[in-house]
Amino acid sequence: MIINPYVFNNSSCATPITNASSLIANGTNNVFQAPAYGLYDYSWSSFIYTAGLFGGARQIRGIEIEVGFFSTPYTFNNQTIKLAHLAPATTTFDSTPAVDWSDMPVSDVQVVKTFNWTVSANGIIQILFDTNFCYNGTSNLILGWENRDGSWAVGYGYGKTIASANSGAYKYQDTTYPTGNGTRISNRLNLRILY
Amino acid sequence: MVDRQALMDALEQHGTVVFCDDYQGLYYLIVMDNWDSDIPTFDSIADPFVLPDYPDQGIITLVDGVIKTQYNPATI
Repeated sequence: MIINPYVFNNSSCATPITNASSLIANGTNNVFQAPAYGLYDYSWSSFIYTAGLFGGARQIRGIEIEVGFFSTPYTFNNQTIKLAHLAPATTTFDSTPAVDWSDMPVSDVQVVKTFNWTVSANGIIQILFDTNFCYNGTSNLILGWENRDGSWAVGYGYGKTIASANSGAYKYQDTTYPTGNGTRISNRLNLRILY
Repeated sequence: MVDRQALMDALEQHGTVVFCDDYQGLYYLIVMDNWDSDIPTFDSIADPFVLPDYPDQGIITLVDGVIKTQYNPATI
């Protein structure tokens, strides 16, 4: 018996897999803290993508992001990607964005991927989820990236981003995973969704 | 070009240099342990060496004697 892993992953999602993709954000800015900052033991970054960018409901089965200037291979261990719906009226981070999203009207928070991330080549990076995210098409989408590697290393590069007012946030530190509030930025990570 | 050896010699008066070098011209990274002073003191030593080539000190933190700083070129 052959089981389609994508349907199996989230059979409760009414939106079918179509094996299509959409480019959601595509810019030329470089942000070292996105999605993970290799200079520090731990980091967090988060980005908001407004509903109008998606064109409807999607069963998101993966993403593509874009990175540059990593000394390859460069590995971040213990990475977690989370997605959640964000209330339609909230399109930006506040001035003191909470690492745990406690200040954001989020729902359906879901860990979609846990992995050791090795950047084997710079450019477009495809990440297929462990669990698909059933995006409703009307809420905004918020992405969180938790870097719990626990060590730093030279040779880190940057994530490619596009300017967008107050659409990003990050925090980084050594020794322990950051808590509390981070820093808001006006960039969001380049993103293509696979659905 | 940053005089790396002179910079390291100057910094080591206040701590242990863990890393001090440029990375592919993309940034100049300095990491130190056991820093015995404050950030302004660090800046007063390092900036004259690094800023002419990497004019944007994008990041600097000092936590428990560990200094990390990343200087960027004018345009990243």
